Amino acid sequence: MDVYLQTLLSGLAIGGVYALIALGFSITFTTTKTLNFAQGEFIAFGAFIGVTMLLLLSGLASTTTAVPSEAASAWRYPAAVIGAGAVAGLMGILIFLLAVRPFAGKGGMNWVMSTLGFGVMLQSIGLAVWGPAPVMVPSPLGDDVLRIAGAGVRPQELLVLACAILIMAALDLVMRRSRIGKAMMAVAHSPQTASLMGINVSLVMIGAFALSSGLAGVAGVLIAPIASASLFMGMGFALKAFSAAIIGGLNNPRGCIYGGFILGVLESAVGLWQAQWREIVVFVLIILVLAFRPAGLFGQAAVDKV
Amino acid sequence: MLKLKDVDLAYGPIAAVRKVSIEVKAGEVVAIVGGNGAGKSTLLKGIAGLMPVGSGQIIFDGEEISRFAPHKRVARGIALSPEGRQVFPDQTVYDNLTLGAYFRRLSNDTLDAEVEEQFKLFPRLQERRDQLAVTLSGGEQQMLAIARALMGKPRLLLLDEPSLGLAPKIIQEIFDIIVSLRKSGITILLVEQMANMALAIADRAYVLETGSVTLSGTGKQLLHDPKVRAAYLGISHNAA
Repeated sequence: MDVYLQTLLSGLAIGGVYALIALGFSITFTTTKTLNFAQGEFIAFGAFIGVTMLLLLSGLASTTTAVPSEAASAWRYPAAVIGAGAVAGLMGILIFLLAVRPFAGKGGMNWVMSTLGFGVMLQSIGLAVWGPAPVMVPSPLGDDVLRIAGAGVRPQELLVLACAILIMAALDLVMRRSRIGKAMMAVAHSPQTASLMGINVSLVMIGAFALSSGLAGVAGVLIAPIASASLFMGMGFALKAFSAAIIGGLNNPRGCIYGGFILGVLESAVGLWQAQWREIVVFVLIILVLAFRPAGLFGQAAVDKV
Repeated sequence: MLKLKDVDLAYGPIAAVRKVSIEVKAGEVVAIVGGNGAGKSTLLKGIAGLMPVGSGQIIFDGEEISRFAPHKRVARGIALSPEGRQVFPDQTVYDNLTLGAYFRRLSNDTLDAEVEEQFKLFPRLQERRDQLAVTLSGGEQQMLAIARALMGKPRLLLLDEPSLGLAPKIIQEIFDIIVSLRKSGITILLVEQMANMALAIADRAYVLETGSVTLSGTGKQLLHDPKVRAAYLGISHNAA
């Protein structure tokens, strides 16, 4: 029993990270009909900006292969999360202006190549700055395993889950209730008609990229204590998160969140049984979803007339 | 109020509007009539900023706005109720209306009061207040599109084919509303295929044919012009 609870919580934690990144994919896809294929590098950059901030804030040297645990204590870890989110958000604005806007809305797939290329450049810059070695990052809550109903849980997993849920709940509320959220929905439906409402469509699109990239940066810092920070960590997470978005429905932000959690738990559950089957099961699921529900499990179905 | 000087608009290499010069004075209802593909909707899109102006000038209240982004033109006081309604289907009637006033940054109370004002003009929308726009009938969606444009408190209202696809009874209702809007002092530029109805309420009108203005005059003059009657009202020279 306890092993199942443990698997479930680990799955939800990793699923929360997938969900954050998947939500990011959905945000740019709905508003600009483009995706940031450098999202993986944004995750890795987020992790390393977090590492750098932890070291600088605690007055330590800026290169190391392991961040000492006191560097992540107290306010420093939250500051690193926010800082990494902000820097990644600014980088998101940059990628939109340089690699997406010139091609968005013009048809064709130029933005696929240009965002991929931006990611490759980012990775090279990251390697020059931080080097190729992975960095161990401590959890601000320590590494002692907690016992919940007999199940052993790493405190960072609970922190990741709590942060992911909190961030996504706040964003969901903003999207559905606030004026800016409704303006984003309007842009998602039709940028032209939205501009007729006096909405500055370019600004909304820039904001969408900043938000999406910021989420990836935050995800990077959250996952670093579990997966350790590495400039090669992003690809796997981004691919899984993209799969989660496909499962949930790219055009449905909530669906992407559910997709993230489903994927995380499924992966964790299959890993309990046969670790080497994990990836196979995940991608079989994606192919099945695409075959039977091309718009995703939660993709928007047409609303019936009342 | 609005002046177009030799305006060209094109979809890529295909010219849709050529050297069009028109004027709309404050307080007028001006109609643009013409057949399918004459460039009427394109012209309104050009004025609203949805189409780049190839050459020529669009001047609104003495200011050249030809290169302005659409949201800046809205802020200057130009609102378009677009062809095919284009309401936001996944948002409620109320939210659609508030989006029309998005750029005005109103307080919630003022916003509510202004939505109520639109409900006085369009009582059917009040009954549908919290329904998603996709669930409305065509006529209700048209009313919503007009009300949403009015929420921007425009000084110039551009109406693109408000009769499109509607039953005659609903069309009459919509035109009654246009007449009452004119009485409230708002300037209207109306594009219509239903030439007889548009000319009947217009102070002045232009006939657009394959992208160029071929005739202009008061609504009455054009309504009785034999060429217009033959081409757009389905009445031949002899029968009259």
